[in-house]
Amino acid sequence: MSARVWLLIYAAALLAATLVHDPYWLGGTLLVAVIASGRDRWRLVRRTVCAVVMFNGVVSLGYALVAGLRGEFSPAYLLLINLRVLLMVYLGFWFVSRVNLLQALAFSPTLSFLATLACGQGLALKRMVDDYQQAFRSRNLEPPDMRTRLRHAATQGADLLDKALHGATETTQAMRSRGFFDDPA
Amino acid sequence: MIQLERVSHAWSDGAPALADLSLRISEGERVVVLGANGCGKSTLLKILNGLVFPDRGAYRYHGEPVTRERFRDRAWSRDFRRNVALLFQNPDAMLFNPTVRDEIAYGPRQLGLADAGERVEQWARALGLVNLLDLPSYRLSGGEKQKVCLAALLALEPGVLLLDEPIAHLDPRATGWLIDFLSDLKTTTVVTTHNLSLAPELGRRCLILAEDHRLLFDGLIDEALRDQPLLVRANLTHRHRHHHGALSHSHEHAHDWN
Repeated sequence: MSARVWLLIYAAALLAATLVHDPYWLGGTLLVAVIASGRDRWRLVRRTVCAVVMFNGVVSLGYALVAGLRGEFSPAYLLLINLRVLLMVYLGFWFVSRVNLLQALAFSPTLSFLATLACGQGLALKRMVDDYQQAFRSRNLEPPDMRTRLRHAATQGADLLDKALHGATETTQAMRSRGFFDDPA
Repeated sequence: MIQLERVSHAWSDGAPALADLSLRISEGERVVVLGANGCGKSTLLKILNGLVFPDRGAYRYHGEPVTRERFRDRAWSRDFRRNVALLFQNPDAMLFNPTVRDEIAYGPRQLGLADAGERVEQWARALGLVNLLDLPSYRLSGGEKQKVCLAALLALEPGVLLLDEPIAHLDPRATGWLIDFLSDLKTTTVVTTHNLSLAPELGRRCLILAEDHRLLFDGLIDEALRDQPLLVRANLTHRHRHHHGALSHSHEHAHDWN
């Protein structure tokens, strides 16, 4: 099957996940997806959980707190939104692990450009994070305390943001320089 | 002191980073690692620093195998981290403390050394950082940041100093200073660079990594720099047209760039 067909199937699956409101169906679909993804399944599960745990944790906690105070807390709703996010993120990781995104988007030059730029930026930021983490490991003679970890995470976050902004500015200027944008601004 | 036996390492996508590399480095040696971009110079330093582990082969430090499992022994890990220090190519990766003073004191404080403050003063003086001690490192220039990183590593008095392209971001004055500073150090140093004209200033022994990630040369740097076919094979020289007035010709040669 071509990369483009897989992209269509993936887009349809994402749409379907937003239309299903039964946690059992969503849970069942997630289970089927995990089983169907073969030998990569545990790596994909780990990546998915790592990717969503912080965000979903904060959102779930916020929802539980506010809804609880209002007396409107619904465990089924909490389960539903978490399963939906897990399923969509899992499908995303499964898709990019199996399908060449650039081939899938080859039908649209604009989407191909955007995907190439996003992949390039993502890879550069990943290398940067790897470097920061290795440097932190290298400089620590003892396991660092929580305060040091948080300080390091804050520095790394600020530098990443800085680098991402700088990268985006450079990319935009380079694209303008190469005639990608028509606007003179 | 340092021994690599047939070490190979590949990235997660299977691309090789180092292939079948064997070498020994004795105490006090000053080694320069040369190679084209992407040949594995930084990976070699990260293996020597115990940040990346060989997929095949063995790394021994003072006869002890350096493995992921070995780092679970906290006393050994602390000793290794104190003795083998790596200066990253990007100094920003190493700086996370609120001031330069805290940055230099970080290692000594972790060890609970009573003279942490004195060490900060000593290395700040040695590297010309006294006026910057109370500034946050993000306010510093690239060269100053590199000096802060170096001071932070040297405050622990490591036995081995690994430097990844330390002159890549330095201006000519700072480069001259660093060369003098390193030549006065008694520490074992392993320095990566692709600057051929500065390489002899950084050490007498030279390792050249090939583009297939194997060790192409291990010997005296003067011999390596005289061996034009070797430099061509390692992609350390290039060929292009020169113009001398009306005369134009082309030959293999090196340009040094940072």
